[in-house]
Order: sequence, then structure tokens, then C-alpha cells
Amino acid sequence: MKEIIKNALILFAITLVSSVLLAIAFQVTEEPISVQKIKQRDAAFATVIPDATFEEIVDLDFSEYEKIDSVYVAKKADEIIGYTFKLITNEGYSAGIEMVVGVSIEGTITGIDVMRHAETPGLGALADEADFKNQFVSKPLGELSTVKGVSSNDTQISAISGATITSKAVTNAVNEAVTYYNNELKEGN
Amino acid sequence: MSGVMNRLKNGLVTENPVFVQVLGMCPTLAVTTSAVNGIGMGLATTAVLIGSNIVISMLKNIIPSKVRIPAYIVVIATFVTLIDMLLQAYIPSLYDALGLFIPLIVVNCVVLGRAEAYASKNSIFNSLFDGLGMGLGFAFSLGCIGLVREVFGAGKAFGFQVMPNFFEPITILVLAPGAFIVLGLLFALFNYINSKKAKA
Repeated sequence: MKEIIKNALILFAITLVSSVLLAIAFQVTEEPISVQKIKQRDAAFATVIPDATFEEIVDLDFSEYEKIDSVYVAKKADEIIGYTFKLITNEGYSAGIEMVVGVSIEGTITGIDVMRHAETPGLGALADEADFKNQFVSKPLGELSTVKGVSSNDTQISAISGATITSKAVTNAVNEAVTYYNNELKEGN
Repeated sequence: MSGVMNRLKNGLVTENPVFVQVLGMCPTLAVTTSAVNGIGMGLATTAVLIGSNIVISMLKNIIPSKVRIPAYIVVIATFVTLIDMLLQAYIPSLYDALGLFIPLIVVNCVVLGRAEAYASKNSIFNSLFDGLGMGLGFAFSLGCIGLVREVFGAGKAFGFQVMPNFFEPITILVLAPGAFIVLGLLFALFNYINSKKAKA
């Protein structure tokens, strides 16, 4: 009986020290981590809409848009030139794909960027290569679909061969951002 | 100093965690889709191994043997979480490459295996180098597997194209079955080299 109590107390002491250490580390690193996250996000935004400033639009309802994480308005010299969407899709082959999509008020997609993914190297990971991402640039704001082989018109994205699932996941996420823009953000609504 | 060299050689060759002890197969199979991923996972594991070996060696007379496994796991998990947070905050570029794998280290049996088999019975100094040796051995093995899979599966080495254009990548090698195939081939190679040495 005495031994059980002694063992439990020692184990308790170890967990106590561990949790104190973790609590301190959390306090210390909390701010630098959020600063890094903002930096990383801004870098991705700058690739889709260069030379703009971004401001998060708060209080939006994404309940019908499960892939949208947040929406930002892009301004140049105080004029709204477009919007950027931060998206997280779980339709990929592996863990969630975090990406950004830029939309200009002139009615085109300005570009996409993949921030974090765990797709298969050589296949799905090619979604983060310029060859694939550049296909989205200047596409009109309508429903996009993926096709195998070469795309024949404006609404088609040529899927990465061997990685249809990843290509579709990215395209669907872009579609959701475009739908949201058309329904909720576009002028006149 | 011979003790130090001995620990390093032990981890890298004699008791190589992957090719000889066959420990830590989960990360070995899962993350070695490229050389950089393999080495990154190996180095992150090395950091945790060194830290947990030192602490467990320090506490070896305090931890009662009946609750030693939960105690080791708490120590290891604490180190993993600390490294995760510190990397995220101060070395974001490294975190970008490794972030995905760091939580996996908690369940890596190499770390627990060394705590149980070595650090709990040896001095702090030796445990430190045991952790370093085992970690480097792990990183080396994962790097080898990753490199082979990347070169033949994607035509690249460390992200750069190395195979000529007419080379058609053997895609299966970067997929899950390829991990087993490459691991098996490297096992055979490593054992062949070791058996030759033993004869000589």
C-alpha cells in the first residue's frame, strides 16, 4: 500500500514538473508563433495579389462553406482591388491542404498558393508547383472542373496525372471561394 | 573519449536502430518519401533522443521501476511538445519542413527503447552520446531510404532533378508499397555488408 502511494506521488511530481515547463514554454512562444503565422500568411497572399495590403473581414458566416477559414480584403491605395481566401480542404489524399486563393473585383482569379500539404511527393505534391497553380491565374469566376489531359477551355483545369484526388480537392476549394465571392461579396449584392 | 566514439559507432552501425534493431518502423515507412523528409525526421528524433536520454539518466535513481514506462513517456512527450513549440516560434523555416513529423516522435519506439535499454542504466554523459549516436543512425537510415525512393520514384535528389528526362519515374516507390520494397532491399544490403565484415 505504501509503495503504491510512493510510486503515484513520484509519477505525479514528474507530470507536475512537465506541465509547469510546458505552460511556461507556451506562454513564451505564444506570441512569436502567431507573428510567424501572420508572416507566412502574408507571404502567401503577396504571391496571389502583389503589392496590396490585406485586412481580415471579421464576423462572416461560413456555416455553408466548410472549406473557408477566413476572408481578407485586398486594398491598394485605399481602394479595394480584390479579396483573398484562406482555405483548408480535407478532400486531398493526405492530411488537410491549407491554401490561399485570390479573387480580383474585375472578375477573375488572380492566383492560388498552397501553404501546407502532405500530399505524395512526385504526384499530389506537384499541386504546389507553378505548372499546376498557374492554370488558375486569370480564370473567370465560374465553376471550374478538372479534366484528364489538356484542358480545352476556360473552365477546365488539367489534373496532375496520377493525382486526380489532389487536383480535384484544390479545384473544389477554389470553386467554394469563388461561389462565396459571387454570392456574398460581389458588388451589387 | 573511446567511450564516445564507441557510442556513436554503436548507433550508426553495430546497433543501427532501423537496419539492425528494426525499431521505429512507423516513421521509417511513412515519412521517407524524399531524402529531405527522412533526414529531417531523423534529426528531429535525434534532438528528442538526446534530451530524453539525459533527463531519464538523471532521474534513473528516482523513478521507481514499477511506474518507469509512464514516467519515460511523460518525459518524452514533454520534450516533443517543447521542441514543437520552440521550432514553430523561432525557426519557422525548419518547422515548415518538419512540423508534420514532430508529433509522430512521441510514438517512436526508438526513443522509448533507448530510455529503457540504455539511459536508465548508464551515466548522463554516456546517455547523451548514446542518444546522439542512435539519432544519427536513425537519420542516416531514413535519409538512405528517402534518397533511394526519391531518385527512382520521382527522378529527384534533395528536390533537384537528377535523372535524365527520358527516365520514367517508378511511381510505386514513393507510394506506401514502395516504402516496404526499398526498406527490404536496404535491409538485405546492410546485412550483406555486416556479414562480410564479420567474416573478415
